[in-house]
Amino acid sequence: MSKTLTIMLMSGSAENEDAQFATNLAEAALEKGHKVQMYLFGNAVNISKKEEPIEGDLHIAPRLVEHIEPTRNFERMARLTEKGADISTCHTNEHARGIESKEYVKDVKWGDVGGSFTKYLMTSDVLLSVGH
Amino acid sequence: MINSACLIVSKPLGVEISALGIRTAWACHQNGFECKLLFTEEGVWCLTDNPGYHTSMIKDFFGEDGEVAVVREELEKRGIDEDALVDGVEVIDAEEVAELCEDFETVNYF
Repeated sequence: MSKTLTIMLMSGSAENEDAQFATNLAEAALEKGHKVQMYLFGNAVNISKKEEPIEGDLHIAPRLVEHIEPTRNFERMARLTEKGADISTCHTNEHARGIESKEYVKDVKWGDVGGSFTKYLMTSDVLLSVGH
Repeated sequence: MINSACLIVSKPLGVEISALGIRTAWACHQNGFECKLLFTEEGVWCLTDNPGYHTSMIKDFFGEDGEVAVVREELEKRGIDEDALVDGVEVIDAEEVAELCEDFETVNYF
Protein backbone atom coordinates (compact mmCIF):
# COMPACT_ATOMS: atom_id res chain seq x y z
CA MET A 1 0.00 0.00 0.00
CA SER A 2 1.32 3.41 -0.97
CA LYS A 3 2.44 5.64 1.91
CA THR A 4 3.46 9.27 2.09
CA LEU A 5 6.99 9.97 3.27
CA THR A 6 7.90 13.49 4.36
CA ILE A 7 11.57 14.36 4.67
CA MET A 8 12.70 17.53 6.38
CA LEU A 9 16.25 17.97 5.08
CA MET A 10 18.55 20.44 6.84
CA SER A 11 21.93 19.80 5.20
CA GLY A 12 23.13 20.95 1.80
CA SER A 13 25.52 19.40 -0.69
CA ALA A 14 29.12 18.64 0.28
CA GLU A 15 28.91 19.48 4.01
CA ASN A 16 28.03 15.89 4.89
CA GLU A 17 26.20 12.94 3.32
CA ASP A 18 22.73 13.88 4.54
CA ALA A 19 21.55 15.41 1.27
CA GLN A 20 22.82 12.41 -0.69
CA PHE A 21 21.10 10.05 1.73
CA ALA A 22 17.82 11.97 1.69
CA THR A 23 17.63 12.33 -2.07
CA ASN A 24 18.57 8.69 -2.63
CA LEU A 25 15.97 7.57 -0.10
CA ALA A 26 13.36 9.79 -1.72
CA GLU A 27 14.11 8.36 -5.13
CA ALA A 28 13.93 4.80 -3.84
CA ALA A 29 10.59 5.50 -2.17
CA LEU A 30 9.19 7.02 -5.37
CA GLU A 31 10.34 4.00 -7.36
CA LYS A 32 8.49 1.77 -4.89
CA GLY A 33 5.30 3.71 -5.60
CA HIS A 34 5.21 5.85 -2.48
CA LYS A 35 4.53 9.55 -2.37
CA VAL A 36 7.40 11.80 -1.29
CA GLN A 37 7.24 15.29 0.17
CA MET A 38 10.47 17.10 0.97
CA TYR A 39 10.91 20.32 2.91
CA LEU A 40 14.30 21.99 2.40
CA PHE A 41 15.29 23.82 5.57
CA GLY A 42 18.55 25.45 6.67
CA ASN A 43 21.49 24.70 4.37
CA ALA A 44 19.32 22.34 2.32
CA VAL A 45 17.83 25.36 0.55
CA ASN A 46 21.09 25.48 -1.43
CA ILE A 47 20.11 22.37 -3.36
CA SER A 48 16.78 23.87 -4.41
CA LYS A 49 18.47 26.15 -6.94
CA LYS A 50 19.55 25.48 -10.51
CA GLU A 51 23.24 24.98 -10.99
CA GLU A 52 25.06 27.90 -12.61
CA PRO A 53 28.13 26.21 -14.09
CA ILE A 54 31.07 28.16 -15.47
CA GLU A 55 32.14 27.87 -19.08
CA GLY A 56 35.35 26.06 -19.96
CA ASP A 57 38.01 24.52 -17.76
CA LEU A 58 37.00 24.01 -14.12
CA HIS A 59 40.61 24.22 -12.93
CA ILE A 60 39.90 21.31 -10.61
CA ALA A 61 41.95 18.13 -10.79
CA PRO A 62 39.97 15.32 -12.48
CA ARG A 63 40.29 13.02 -9.46
CA LEU A 64 38.87 15.76 -7.25
CA VAL A 65 35.97 16.33 -9.66
CA GLU A 66 35.35 12.59 -9.52
CA HIS A 67 35.41 12.76 -5.71
CA ILE A 68 33.01 15.71 -5.53
CA GLU A 69 30.55 14.57 -8.18
CA PRO A 70 28.50 12.13 -6.05
CA THR A 71 27.99 14.82 -3.40
CA ARG A 72 26.29 17.20 -5.83
CA ASN A 73 22.54 16.87 -5.79
CA PHE A 74 21.29 19.08 -8.64
CA GLU A 75 20.47 16.24 -11.03
CA ARG A 76 18.92 14.08 -8.31
CA MET A 77 16.68 16.97 -7.25
CA ALA A 78 15.47 17.40 -10.82
CA ARG A 79 14.84 13.66 -11.10
CA LEU A 80 12.80 13.68 -7.90
CA THR A 81 10.39 16.34 -9.12
CA GLU A 82 10.16 14.62 -12.52
CA LYS A 83 9.14 11.45 -10.68
CA GLY A 84 6.45 13.30 -8.77
CA ALA A 85 8.08 14.41 -5.51
CA ASP A 86 6.57 17.51 -3.95
CA ILE A 87 9.51 19.67 -2.84
CA SER A 88 9.45 23.11 -1.30
CA THR A 89 11.93 25.35 0.48
CA CYS A 90 12.14 27.78 3.35
CA HIS A 91 12.34 31.19 1.72
CA THR A 92 13.59 32.74 4.99
CA ASN A 93 16.64 30.50 4.87
CA GLU A 94 17.09 31.40 1.20
CA HIS A 95 17.00 35.06 2.19
CA ALA A 96 19.64 34.42 4.88
CA ARG A 97 21.91 33.03 2.17
CA GLY A 98 21.18 35.73 -0.42
CA ILE A 99 19.79 33.24 -2.95
CA GLU A 100 16.05 33.89 -2.82
CA SER A 101 15.89 35.36 -6.33
CA LYS A 102 17.82 32.51 -7.97
CA GLU A 103 15.89 30.10 -10.16
CA TYR A 104 14.66 26.84 -8.60
CA VAL A 105 15.35 23.41 -9.95
CA LYS A 106 12.33 22.52 -12.09
CA ASP A 107 9.12 22.27 -10.04
CA VAL A 108 10.75 22.95 -6.67
CA LYS A 109 8.52 25.48 -4.93
CA TRP A 110 8.96 28.57 -2.78
CA GLY A 111 7.65 27.86 0.69
CA ASP A 112 7.71 28.45 4.41
CA VAL A 113 7.57 26.33 7.51
CA GLY A 114 4.15 27.59 8.59
CA GLY A 115 2.51 26.88 5.25
CA SER A 116 4.42 24.26 3.28
CA PHE A 117 5.77 22.10 6.08
CA THR A 118 2.60 22.01 8.16
CA LYS A 119 0.65 21.10 5.01
CA TYR A 120 3.06 18.20 4.46
CA LEU A 121 2.66 17.19 8.10
CA MET A 122 -1.09 16.83 7.69
CA THR A 123 -0.72 14.29 4.92
CA SER A 124 2.30 12.31 6.14
CA ASP A 125 2.44 8.68 7.13
CA VAL A 126 6.11 8.92 8.02
CA LEU A 127 8.21 11.96 8.91
CA LEU A 128 11.98 11.87 8.78
CA SER A 129 14.13 14.85 9.76
CA VAL A 130 17.62 14.59 8.32
CA GLY A 131 20.45 16.94 9.14
CA HIS A 132 23.16 17.76 11.62
CA MET B 1 -0.40 13.38 11.31
CA ILE B 2 -1.46 16.02 13.73
CA ASN B 3 0.98 16.35 16.59
CA SER B 4 4.71 16.77 16.99
CA ALA B 5 7.50 16.82 19.49
CA CYS B 6 10.46 18.98 18.51
CA LEU B 7 13.71 17.91 20.14
CA ILE B 8 16.31 20.66 20.18
CA VAL B 9 19.88 19.44 20.68
CA SER B 10 21.76 22.37 19.14
CA LYS B 11 23.14 25.44 20.90
CA PRO B 12 21.50 28.83 20.33
CA LEU B 13 24.44 30.69 18.82
CA GLY B 14 26.86 29.83 16.03
CA VAL B 15 24.57 27.32 14.38
CA GLU B 16 21.18 27.74 12.79
CA ILE B 17 19.48 24.46 13.60
CA SER B 18 18.04 25.33 17.03
CA ALA B 19 16.30 28.39 15.57
CA LEU B 20 14.81 26.16 12.86
CA GLY B 21 13.45 23.82 15.54
CA ILE B 22 11.82 26.62 17.48
CA ARG B 23 10.34 28.05 14.28
CA THR B 24 8.98 24.63 13.35
CA ALA B 25 7.33 24.21 16.75
CA TRP B 26 5.88 27.69 16.54
CA ALA B 27 4.53 27.08 13.03
CA CYS B 28 2.96 23.77 14.03
CA HIS B 29 1.44 25.27 17.16
CA GLN B 30 0.04 28.29 15.32
CA ASN B 31 -1.54 25.98 12.75
CA GLY B 32 -3.40 24.04 15.41
CA PHE B 33 -1.10 21.04 15.80
CA GLU B 34 -0.35 19.88 19.32
CA CYS B 35 3.37 20.48 19.69
CA LYS B 36 5.89 20.24 22.50
CA LEU B 37 9.44 21.57 22.55
CA LEU B 38 12.01 19.44 24.34
CA PHE B 39 15.51 20.80 24.92
CA THR B 40 18.39 18.44 25.57
CA GLU B 41 22.15 18.18 25.06
CA GLU B 42 23.56 21.56 23.90
CA GLY B 43 20.00 22.73 23.24
CA VAL B 44 19.52 23.41 26.95
CA TRP B 45 21.49 26.66 26.52
CA CYS B 46 18.53 27.99 24.51
CA LEU B 47 16.53 28.19 27.74
CA THR B 48 18.91 30.32 29.81
CA ASP B 49 17.12 33.60 29.17
CA ASN B 50 19.75 34.85 26.73
CA PRO B 51 18.86 38.04 24.90
CA GLY B 52 17.57 37.61 21.37
CA TYR B 53 15.48 35.48 19.06
CA HIS B 54 15.37 32.17 20.94
CA THR B 55 14.21 33.58 24.26
CA SER B 56 11.64 35.87 22.66
CA MET B 57 10.21 32.99 20.62
CA ILE B 58 10.11 30.67 23.63
CA LYS B 59 8.28 33.31 25.67
CA ASP B 60 5.81 33.84 22.82
CA PHE B 61 5.34 30.06 22.63
CA PHE B 62 4.48 30.00 26.32
CA GLY B 63 2.16 32.95 25.74
CA GLU B 64 0.21 30.82 23.27
CA ASP B 65 -0.02 27.90 25.75
CA GLY B 66 2.90 26.02 24.21
CA GLU B 67 4.64 23.37 26.31
CA VAL B 68 8.40 23.35 26.85
CA ALA B 69 10.49 20.75 28.66
CA VAL B 70 14.17 20.26 29.38
CA VAL B 71 16.16 17.22 30.47
CA ARG B 72 17.38 17.53 34.06
CA GLU B 73 20.59 15.54 33.58
CA GLU B 74 21.66 17.75 30.68
CA LEU B 75 21.28 20.86 32.84
CA GLU B 76 23.30 19.23 35.62
CA LYS B 77 26.13 18.24 33.24
CA ARG B 78 26.52 21.87 32.24
CA GLY B 79 26.14 23.36 35.71
CA ILE B 80 22.95 25.19 34.79
CA ASP B 81 20.61 25.82 37.70
CA GLU B 82 16.90 25.33 37.08
CA ASP B 83 16.30 28.84 38.47
CA ALA B 84 18.33 30.27 35.57
CA LEU B 85 15.80 29.01 33.01
CA VAL B 86 13.02 30.95 31.35
CA ASP B 87 9.93 30.73 33.57
CA GLY B 88 7.53 27.89 32.86
CA VAL B 89 9.92 25.21 31.60
CA GLU B 90 9.10 21.69 32.78
CA VAL B 91 12.18 19.81 33.95
CA ILE B 92 11.97 16.09 33.19
CA ASP B 93 14.27 13.14 33.78
CA ALA B 94 16.17 11.59 30.87
CA GLU B 95 14.27 8.35 31.30
CA GLU B 96 11.02 10.19 30.52
CA VAL B 97 12.14 11.29 27.05
CA ALA B 98 11.25 8.06 25.26
CA GLU B 99 7.81 8.05 26.88
CA LEU B 100 7.28 11.66 25.83
CA CYS B 101 8.18 10.79 22.24
CA GLU B 102 5.69 7.92 22.28
CA ASP B 103 2.95 10.42 23.10
CA PHE B 104 3.48 12.15 19.76
CA GLU B 105 2.85 10.96 16.24
CA THR B 106 5.88 12.76 14.84
CA VAL B 107 9.23 13.64 16.37
CA ASN B 108 11.48 16.22 14.79
CA TYR B 109 15.14 16.53 15.74
CA PHE B 110 17.09 19.77 15.48
